[in-house]
Amino acid sequence: MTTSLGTDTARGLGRVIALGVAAIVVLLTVAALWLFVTLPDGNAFNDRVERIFVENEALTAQNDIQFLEILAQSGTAFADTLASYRVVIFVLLLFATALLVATLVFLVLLIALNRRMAQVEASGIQVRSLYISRAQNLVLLNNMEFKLTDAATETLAALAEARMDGDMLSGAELESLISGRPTSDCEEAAGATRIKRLRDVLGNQMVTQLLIRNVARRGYMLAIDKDVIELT
Amino acid sequence: MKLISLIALGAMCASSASAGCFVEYKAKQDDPLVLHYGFLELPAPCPDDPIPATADRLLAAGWTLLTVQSAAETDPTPEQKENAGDNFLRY
Repeated sequence: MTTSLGTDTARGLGRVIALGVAAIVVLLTVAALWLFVTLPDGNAFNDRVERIFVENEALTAQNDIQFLEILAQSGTAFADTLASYRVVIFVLLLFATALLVATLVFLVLLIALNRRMAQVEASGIQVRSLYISRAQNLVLLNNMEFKLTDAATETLAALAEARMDGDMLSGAELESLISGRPTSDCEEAAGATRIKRLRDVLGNQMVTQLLIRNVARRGYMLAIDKDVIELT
Repeated sequence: MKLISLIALGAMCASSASAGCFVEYKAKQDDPLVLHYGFLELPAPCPDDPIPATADRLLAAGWTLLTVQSAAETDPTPEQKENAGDNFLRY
């Protein structure tokens, strides 16, 4: 069935999106963490200068000490610059995440759209909505309006109800549903006639052939998804 | 003025002549990093480990002891005194 195949692929695509987004977020989070952990902090320079001061016993002249202090201060200033770089890199990483996620979603949507287009081309007509108004003998198919006879409306409504229940109707069952007589009293031919009249009254033979499926020795069925049917 | 400096010199000589324990140390203050080389005098005789006493004395003044380079009951050399500058026997 094309419909179940469609929902399966949709679920698969949803999983692909979820996995892809998760992978991207995890990758870039790891990158961001690595960035924050590995960049030296401001005290690294002070510690280095301090070690030089302690390890060189001859380094006691006041000029030398002042020079070391200046070295440590310039190191700290550079560390501040590094901190601002870190923020900039982090923001760029966030942008990269957003762009990658958007790219993935669009890619998957494009694939889904292509598949759907292929399905539409294959099935010829894709019924998105079927609205049947018994009171007005009116059928709205994808917002196209068809005016039917009483009998044709009854037949279409019976078929629609059976479709919503997921049932197949034989000609005799269809006749029994509409006439109210027991199935055993109804003839297969009477139902077939109703189907024929419905197809005729809907006019466009090709569209109706696509709309009403006839499975040999089992019966008739509307070839549309039951979720799109609305009966009033 | 001359008299005062003479008295100060005299007091300094007197204190060094008292032959305490002169500890040569290096210390620091954080944020911003300030380094400090100096001498301080502990009561003679010199303890085996002068680090705790020196660290306590410096910490009271707000400095962190980095290392003790020497501890001796002899007077530091003039060059050491000059390098220590204001920090000679300051704490």
